[in-house]
Amino acid sequence: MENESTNEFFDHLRKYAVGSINQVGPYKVIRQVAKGGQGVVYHGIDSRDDSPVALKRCDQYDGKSVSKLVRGTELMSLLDHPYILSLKEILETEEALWIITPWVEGVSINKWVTEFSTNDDETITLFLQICDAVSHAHARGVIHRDLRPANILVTPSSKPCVLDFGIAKQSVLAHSTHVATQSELSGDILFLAPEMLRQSAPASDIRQDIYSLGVLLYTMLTESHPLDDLPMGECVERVLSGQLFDANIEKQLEGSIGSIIRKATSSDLNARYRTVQEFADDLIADMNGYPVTAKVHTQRYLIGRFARRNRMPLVAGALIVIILFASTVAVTSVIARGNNVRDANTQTMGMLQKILRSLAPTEGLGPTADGLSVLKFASEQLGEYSDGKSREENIAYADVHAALASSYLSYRRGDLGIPHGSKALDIYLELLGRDHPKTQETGSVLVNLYIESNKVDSAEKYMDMLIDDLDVSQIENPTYLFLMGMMRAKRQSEDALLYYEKYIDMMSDAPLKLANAYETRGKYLNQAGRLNDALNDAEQAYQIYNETLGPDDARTLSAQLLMAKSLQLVGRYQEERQLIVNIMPAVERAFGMNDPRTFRGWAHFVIAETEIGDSEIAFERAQRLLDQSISVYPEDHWHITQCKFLVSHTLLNLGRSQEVIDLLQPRMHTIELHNGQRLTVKYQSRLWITRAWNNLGEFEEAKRVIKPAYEELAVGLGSEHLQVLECSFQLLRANHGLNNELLVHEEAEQLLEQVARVSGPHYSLRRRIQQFVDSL
Amino acid sequence: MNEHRHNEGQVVPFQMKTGLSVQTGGMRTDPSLMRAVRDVNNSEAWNTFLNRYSPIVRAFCINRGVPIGDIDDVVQEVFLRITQYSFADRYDPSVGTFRSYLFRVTRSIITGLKSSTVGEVADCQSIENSEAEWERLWKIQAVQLSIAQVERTLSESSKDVLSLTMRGVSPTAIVQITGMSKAAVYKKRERLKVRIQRAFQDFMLDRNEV
Repeated sequence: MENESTNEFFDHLRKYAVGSINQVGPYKVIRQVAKGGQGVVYHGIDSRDDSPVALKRCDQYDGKSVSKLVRGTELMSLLDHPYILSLKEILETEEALWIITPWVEGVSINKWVTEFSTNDDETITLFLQICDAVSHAHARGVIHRDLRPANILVTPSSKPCVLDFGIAKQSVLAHSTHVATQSELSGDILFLAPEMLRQSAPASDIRQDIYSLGVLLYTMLTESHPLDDLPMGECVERVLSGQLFDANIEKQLEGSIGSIIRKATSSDLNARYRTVQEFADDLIADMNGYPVTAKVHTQRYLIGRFARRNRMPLVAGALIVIILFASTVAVTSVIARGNNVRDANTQTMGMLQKILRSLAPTEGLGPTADGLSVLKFASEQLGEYSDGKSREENIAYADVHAALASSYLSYRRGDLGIPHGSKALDIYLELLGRDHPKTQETGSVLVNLYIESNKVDSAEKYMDMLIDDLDVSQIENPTYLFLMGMMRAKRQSEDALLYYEKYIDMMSDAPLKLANAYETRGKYLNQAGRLNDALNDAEQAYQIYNETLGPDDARTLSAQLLMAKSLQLVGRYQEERQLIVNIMPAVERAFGMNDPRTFRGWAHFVIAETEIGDSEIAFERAQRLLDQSISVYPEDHWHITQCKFLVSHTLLNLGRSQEVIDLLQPRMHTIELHNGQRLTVKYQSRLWITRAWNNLGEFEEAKRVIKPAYEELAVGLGSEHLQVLECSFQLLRANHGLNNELLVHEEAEQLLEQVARVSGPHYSLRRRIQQFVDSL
Repeated sequence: MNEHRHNEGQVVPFQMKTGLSVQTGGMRTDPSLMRAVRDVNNSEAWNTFLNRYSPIVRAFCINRGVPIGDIDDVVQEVFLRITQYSFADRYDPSVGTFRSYLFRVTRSIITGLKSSTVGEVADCQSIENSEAEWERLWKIQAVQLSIAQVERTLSESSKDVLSLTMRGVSPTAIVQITGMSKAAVYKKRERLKVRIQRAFQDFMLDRNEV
């Protein structure tokens, strides 16, 4: 019979074998990110799907804490809330217990309050989102019991993320049983309710979380804790004796918000809010100027509240509601009086559009969250006005929809604008007819929204409905010409140029529109492989923007980024690098560090530096961009893959071909992208990998990878497209490697000529082909 | 905390939770792998050497808070240094174990890194007291290598028993799954235990190391 020790031996062995030395189960440990008394937190990757994870190593644990954590895991499975960090799993290894959660990029709530929040309303709005998360958990019987700043992160989009739900309390309770040993107390307990400090094992009660939330709100609004600077022993005494706030602070807490905090942090359980929702409701009431339950409702207080909420709020959202309301009232009353409806309607619409314009983002700077959220708010409000009965009312209703569609277009949010545009167009078509200016204008907006959403079929359908003939010679409306150009360009159709050309002729007196047309056409020409023409257009756009708007305007900078791309594609790397070095400070200022345009700028730098400068510098920058993209856009596979291509570019130049294969191979078939992106990634991956195999002398592999891609691309893009030429060159290399007898000179020379025709004399592909020919 | 050797000349029992124990003052073999590694044409030896020890150095760097961008440099520097003939502090089996030696080299390189990038190495200030951490990592790696080494020499049926046991399958269930007799399963498990313990001891005593 087997003795006990063999069982124990294998039990321990299993724990050792859970992962390897840099691996915990399926999770690869990448770097340490934090270290505290209870363990270490690492950043890692789930090797099954490459998703980033956080691994928290708890060094001090025993069987009891394991079972509590397992219970915590069960509780966690009950929670599904956007502001609560989910738990992936808990693993036990020989030396430690590991808590695995998805990786969340963010800053501590303290840092967010200090550096990012601009006013109290913003802070309270975030706090209300935290309340929403906690309330969600409470509704499912889960109590956090360790709510404090360290357990709340704020993401780059200013959303909270509450950590350690269902597990945090286990470690906190260990502290609370040792109140007598004050040396063991840490700042963590400053957010614990007095009853948790008093009893060794207090019964779970949601009001413990409410207390912690009250202290948290105080710290968020004042950027300090009421017991700051006091020795720990005194802190505990103050909490236990119900004197969290001293007399000075008490005085400051006399207003409504102060009363709310005092009610939430009352040492008497029964005097606190009974639910988090009650707490949140009071805060919302206070924000809107209504009486709060935390305050005694004296007559004076009630009058003060009334006066506050009836002050004209300057928030744009409220204005929109008023205007929408006014619009209906005005139209109705004018009709009632039999006066000129159009005047009243125009006046109202004018006001509304003025407000919507004020919410629109500065063109080229991208949407602002505030403006967009107000638009969404207006969209919701509009639903209530959908039952207009008279013709005038229906038109007024359509006008508002049309204005919203137009506003969404300026935010480039086709998905949100299309329903409004469709609604307005339906009404206009029915009541005003196809040729009415309102119908035509809204139709254009709708077509544009569809193009923006890559729904070219729908765009074409509506365009066909708006005009009788889509032929370029028959269209005289510049807006339609431009839209047709964009649609054809999306279809990769050469006749896009005819529409653009006619539009450009008509816009010679409108510099900004002209510049925009050059820029849009330039982008298309780049895609179409007409690189020198694309560069010309980019330069034209830049010059016009620069003269009209100045060098630091977002549109000027965007045009320069397009110039850089064109310079790169024609192989003028010196100029590309110089341009990028000159504009990047302004680009970073204008768009921010994490904007895709800033990434694009640095990508240009990497490519230029790789081609003509220091490959090591280029590699470091590319690697940094990849790390940054994984951390800032962990879900954006397209963006991450583009960064991987950049790294591949630099690695090939450094002779590190095997690393290119390791970097790109695993993602080739699994990447989750929309169709167009997936194909692009597929072909580009194949190109980079083929170059690497060829460099390594693995010609069979190279041929296997590139041949199908070459055939498909040549059919889709034509034999003179640069990507096709690159495929052709790599296939030539592979074939030559497999059969030295092949006469490749002639083919290589032909390729050289083709590349020179479509790019420029210095393009790197041409240089590489030349080197290849020389080596034959 | 388990007792372990603080002094190379002293024999102290090293008891793991696993029941895997080693006598740390035992005989050491000739550092043949180290010699093979110095032969620039012997890429197989170099790969074996790197696969065996670089994970320890890497994990140690991670745990000591060495910035992620510097970890590859540290690993490379460690292995270049210990394989250089000219390196003053070359490994001498008569002075101590290979793991102590590798620890010293790694520590000195991380400390050098710390002095060159002040403030960037989060945890390097405690590098002087990091021997226990090193031992922990070494043990994990030794266990893993021991299992892998034993596995390579097993019959198919023993491999099945090891694989199922490592997945937490009970001996009774293994009997049902494999159709082996109960006695055979228990016997195989017992033998596996002994062989893994022995391989582990070899790794810990350098008999299998260098």
